[in-house]
Parts: sequence; C-alpha cells; structure tokens
Amino acid sequence: MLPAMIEVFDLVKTYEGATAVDGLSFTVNPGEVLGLVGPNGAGKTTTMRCITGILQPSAGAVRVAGLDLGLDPVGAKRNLAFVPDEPQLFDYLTIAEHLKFYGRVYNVPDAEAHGAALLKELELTGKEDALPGTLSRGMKQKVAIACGLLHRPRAVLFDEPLTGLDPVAIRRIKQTIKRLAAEGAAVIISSHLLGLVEEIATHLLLLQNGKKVLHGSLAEVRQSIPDLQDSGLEAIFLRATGYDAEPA
Amino acid sequence: MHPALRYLAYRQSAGGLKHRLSRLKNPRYFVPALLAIAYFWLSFGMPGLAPSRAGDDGHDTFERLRVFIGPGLGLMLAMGWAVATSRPAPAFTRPEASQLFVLPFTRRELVNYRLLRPQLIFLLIGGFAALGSLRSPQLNPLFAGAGGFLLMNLLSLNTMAAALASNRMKNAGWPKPLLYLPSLLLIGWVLGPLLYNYQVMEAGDEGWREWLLNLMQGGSAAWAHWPLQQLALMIGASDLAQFGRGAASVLVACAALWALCMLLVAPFEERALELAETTGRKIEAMRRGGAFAAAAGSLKKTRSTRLKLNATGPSWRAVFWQTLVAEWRIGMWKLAIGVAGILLALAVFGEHFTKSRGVAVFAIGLSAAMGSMLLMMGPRMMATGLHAELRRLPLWKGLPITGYSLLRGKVWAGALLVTPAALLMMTAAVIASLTLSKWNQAPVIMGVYAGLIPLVPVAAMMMIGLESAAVLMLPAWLSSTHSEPGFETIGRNLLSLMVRMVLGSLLAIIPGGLFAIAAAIGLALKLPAPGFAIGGVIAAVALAAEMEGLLLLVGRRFDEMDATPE
Repeated sequence: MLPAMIEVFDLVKTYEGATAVDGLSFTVNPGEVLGLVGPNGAGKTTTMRCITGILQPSAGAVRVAGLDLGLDPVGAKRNLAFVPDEPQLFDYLTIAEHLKFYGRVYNVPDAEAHGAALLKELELTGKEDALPGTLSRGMKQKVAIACGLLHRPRAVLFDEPLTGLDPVAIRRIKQTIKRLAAEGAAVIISSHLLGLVEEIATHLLLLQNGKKVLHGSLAEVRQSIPDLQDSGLEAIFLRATGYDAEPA
Repeated sequence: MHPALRYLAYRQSAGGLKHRLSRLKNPRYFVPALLAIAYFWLSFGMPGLAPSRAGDDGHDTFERLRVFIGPGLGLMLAMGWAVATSRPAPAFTRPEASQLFVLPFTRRELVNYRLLRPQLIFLLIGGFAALGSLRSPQLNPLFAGAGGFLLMNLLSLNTMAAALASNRMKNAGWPKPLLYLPSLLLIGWVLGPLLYNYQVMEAGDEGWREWLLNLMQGGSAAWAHWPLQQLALMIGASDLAQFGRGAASVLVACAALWALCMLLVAPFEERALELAETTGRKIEAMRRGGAFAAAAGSLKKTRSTRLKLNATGPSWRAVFWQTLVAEWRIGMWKLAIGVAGILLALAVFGEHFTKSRGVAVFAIGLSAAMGSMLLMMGPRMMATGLHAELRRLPLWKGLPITGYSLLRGKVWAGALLVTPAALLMMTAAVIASLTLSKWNQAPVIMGVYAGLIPLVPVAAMMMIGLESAAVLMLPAWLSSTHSEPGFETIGRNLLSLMVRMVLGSLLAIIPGGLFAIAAAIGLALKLPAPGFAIGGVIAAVALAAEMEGLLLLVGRRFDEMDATPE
C-alpha cells in the first residue's frame, strides 16, 4: 500500500478560547477522494486552512507527502494545491500571466503547454489575455483550479468547488477531480452538496463541533448506520448530526 | 527573493498603471485627468518655472517648517507602532493572502515581496515631492524627489517592522498594554527633549523664531533628535553633501528596520488573512455601497435609534430620517461639532489666557476658513449623499418615491447636519470680532450675525442641493459610482466644485440683490443692524424658495433616469 499523502494527527485549533477543531485525526491516501462534510461551523474550513498552512494548529500536526507542515512548510506546500471557495485572483494579471506566475513558483518546465491543456480542459481557451475583472464567478473558479493543478500536485484540496458554476462547468470539474484521483493524487473536497460527495468521493469525513462524527469509505460509513444502509448520504448526514429528529 | 514574487510585483504594478492609462480613452476619465494635470501645473509647475520673483519667501517658509519635520517624522514612526497593536500583521491584499500563503514561499520572501510591491507608488509620490519643490527656487527637485521616495520606504519598513513585532509579542502572549511599549518609547524620544527644552516665551511676540529654534533644535533636542534632523535635512537639501548625509541616514535606518523585519518574522498568516479579509470586505462594501457601507461595516455594535418616524406620512420624511440616522452614526458630523466647539472655546477664552489679541485674529480667520470649508465640503462629507447613493439606484428606483422626495429628504437632512457646526464656527468668529471691535461697532456685528443665522442652513441646503443636482444631471461624470481611486478623482472633485460654483452664483443673484436692498435701506435709515438682519432673513427665504424649485426640476430628471447611470 502506498504511504498516506495527507496525514492529520490530533489536530486542535482554538480561537480565543473557542475550539474550532478538537483532536481530529485522519489520513488520505493517493487515489482517494475524501468528502469533508458537516453543518455550518463544524470546522471544515478551519481544517482545510490548517492543512494548507494558512492557520497554525494549536496542537497536533499535519504532514503532506511525508513532510511535516510545521517543520518544512515550503517542502510540504510544493506537493499541495488549494482551491478556495471564493476565488481571489490578482486584479491586474491576465489569465496567462496567472499561469506564468504559478509555473514560476513551482518551476514547472512545461508550464506553457500544460497550462494551455488545462485551459482547454476547463473551457477557458481564448480567455488567456482577459483580466479577472471581466470574468464571471464561474470562470474565475476555473482559473483558480487551473492555477492549482498546473504543477501536478500530489494533494489537492477543494473548498466548495462547484459554487457559482453552470451545469456544463460542474460536469467538467467533476471529471477533472476524478482524473486527478485516477492519476494518484489525494483529494479532499469540502462541500455542502452531498450529491457531489456521494458521486465522486471514495471516503467521507463528517465533522460536527470540530469533532469527527463519521469517517471511513462510503461503504463503511453506510454500514455504521445499519437501518440507513440503502439510504443516500443526506439521510446518513441528518441522522449522524442529530437533525433527523427535528420536525421538517 | 523568489523570482516569481518579483514577477508578480512587477506585473501587478505595470498592469495597474496600464489599466489606469488605458481608461483615459474614455472622456469621463480623460477630462477629469486633464483638469487634475492643469490644477497641478497651475499650482506647482508654473510658479516653479516662472522667473524668480522678488520677495519670494517659499524657501523661508520651508526653513521655518523644517524644524517640525524631524520631530513630525519621529511621531509618524511612533504612530506606525501604535497602529500596529490593533493590526498585528503585514498588510496583504485579499488575493495575496488567499493565494500566496498556500504557495511554497518562506515568510521572509513574503515580507520582502510586500515591501517591494508599492515601489511604483513611492516613485510617483517622489515625483509629486519633486513637483512640489518647484515652488521654491532654492530647493532641488531631484533631491526632493529622491528624498520623498526614500522616506516612503522608511515609513513602509517601519510599518512592517511594527506589524511583525506586534505579531511576535501577541504570539508570545504579551498583555495588550505592553504592546504599546515601543510606540511610547518612540513618543518619549520625540517629546522628551522638547519638554525638557520648554521655556515660557518672553512677553510679547518678538523673538518667537529664536524661541522656536531653541525649543525644537537646541539643548537636549540637538543631540537626541540628531538622527531625525538628518532625515529632515534630506527633503530640503540645497547641496549634494547635505542630501548625502540625509540619504545615508535614511539608508542606515532602512537597513536596520529591514534586519529587524527579517529577525522578527514569525507565523503571521492567520492574522494577515483576517486583516486582508476585513480590509477586503471594506473595499468591496465601498465599491458596492460607497462610504456608508464601508464605514457601517466597521461599526462593531450600535443601538437602534430612538429618533421618531411616523408609520404614515410623506415619503420624503422617511428619506430624511434614514439619512439623518445613517449620517449621525457613521458620518463626520460629531467631529465637525467637536472642532467647532474648540474654536468657540478659543474665541471665548483665548485672549483671557494668552493676553494676546493675535489669538482673536487667529480665531476669526480659522473659524471663517473652516466654516466656509464645511459649507463647501458638506456635500462630500455626506456618506449617503447622492454622489454615493447612485450605487443603489436600482433600489431607490424600485421604491414608490419620487425624485423630488428623495432629494428633499437628503438635502434637508444634510443641511440639518451641517448647520450646528457651521453656526458654532460663525459664533466663534463673531465673539472674537466683538473682542477686537469698539463698543459702537457691536450692534452692526450683531446685525450681520442675526442676518447670517437664517442664511447658514439655507446655504448648506444650497450646496448639498447643487451637488445632488450636478450628480443627477451628469451622473457618469460626477458620481463616485464607478470610480476607482486614481489621478482623475482630483479632477472629478474639481469639476464638481466648478459646477457648484457656477450654479451657486446664478442662484445667489436674486437673494443677494434682496439682501443688498434691505441693507441699503437700513443704512439709509441709519439703522444698519436691523437692515442686515432683515436682509438676511429675506435672502434666506428667497434662496429656500429657489432651492424648492430646483429640487422639483432635478427630481424630474431622477424620475426619468434609467436604473444604471451609465
């Protein structure tokens, strides 16, 4: 078995006394797609931000491709890509210049050719000279994805990747995520769209109040609630979080 | 530094410049830019390049001001450290925080990038300093420009060092009061020697230059402020040696601060992201909702107003109420009233404490200048004035409200907010005038004062009404709806002022004539005071009537407008 690509050990993150993530541990192996789900305020974004090195864990550790993010942040981040829920692009850089910048950051020898291929895959061909201000939200999201995937990362984190996309783009992004996993990348998707998670994730991690509620492969998660084995993720989510008892 | 970050800094600056230049193809940017250039040329370029005039005292004025530059700079450095206690992280933009913190860069590389990024702006500021120095034939534009550029870098490095130090202290769990320690030490360094040097000035106003020089540069300040004086020398250097000393001092200070930055770097991403998101939200609010939304976004908590608004009644009252509440909560009006209160105190007690009639003259000049400025700038001080509210045009157009009601509500509320501060300033000027005048002149002064009292709110109404009218007549030219900060903003404000001045002059013809007739009758009857007072009342009524007509007329223009001013 290949070594885990993303490893999280006893992760704790507190904000001025409030605990956002409480002793979380999990791993994501190459080729796995982990769906990170949970109600609002469960700690999903905080977990993602800790894994990407934006937030410093209050306790615990994160390793990416075997490199400790606290000890060797630059080395760990070389293997990582993060696509945030709200794409924030540089105002005065064109799409081609964004790709050029990312190619230079990661020293990608075939940045131009690979960038062009990614733009084609994400249906952005012809927009190379456009500034972000002229793009729709969905297009900006696609640019952020192209930038993230340019260096062929071994671990990719998507935070709500389908927000603001049209049905065609949604299908494209799903295909891209599946391709990444098939090529051996470890993928984490944080999303409220349980249908998306059910469709492309191989594993599920359900968080509530910063703690792990359910974790395992989709089959294992289903088996953990025997009377809901044939139900969709929505029913499992509501049961595990205790919301199924509330009147509709 | 990582070459990718150098590329990013260069492309961001070049792209921004290209964008701003390319939009000049649009006349609504080109004309204001042309006006701004003309303004700078007339203010700085032409006087600087004109043959030297006898009695030109530009350099003397600068020489007098220069004693303040060193300590002023010291206080600015201290301020940077004080502000850093509430902003304990380097200031990155939202895209930078969102993208760069995830990428494989070291924190030192990120800090160096942040220091490199504003260099083009610093160069432009240096250019403005060079332009400003043209006013004095003794100043060297090259030294002034280079000095301005170096000083901007010094301030930038100081801000960065302060942010990193504050971040480091917070990470180490220092209690909040202790975070102010560096700024207090810096303030002590600047003010300590001045307090030690302070001596009461001898009676009379003669010899104040020597007194000031001794206070600012003599005694303990001579050696304690030596580094600050060297920095100040650089801007107004008249020879290469002087400039070299100043520049060398700045470079040494910059190197020391940069080394401090590199030494103090500690995990800052979390706080920097928070800062970037807060600032980013404010900028977005500014773009979408104007100053009101941006300022409202920074209000931490507030209570609902107890100002009464009836559930039914004319719709303009709802706009009046909304404007009044919003403006009082987030506008500059409390500050204006505070400043007016200080001027009033100066006029009432100034002479008593200083035994100098100069204070009364000073109070008259300052009150008149600030009062006029308040009337002129009142419309732009309104966060919810029409120049900003056009951003919400679809919302206003969607409400069952006429343009007249909207304008009336906005203009009346604005006038009500300008009036207290303007009246206080006018009262300060009148009180100071009474202390300088003979007893038999007092009735005339009081007559003019009585005449001006009704005119102040109507004049405020006129200025706000004209601004609103100008914005509605020329929305694409004068509203701040789509304007990003740029050089042409200065020209746009000048254009707005010009339109208001022309329209204001036209509106003032009839009320001015009526005032003159009433005053002339008063003078003829040897009753000047009642003449001025009655004239003021008549002029105010006439101007108010004219304004009602104007609001009706311009309100129609609002009713005919499309939901997008473009």
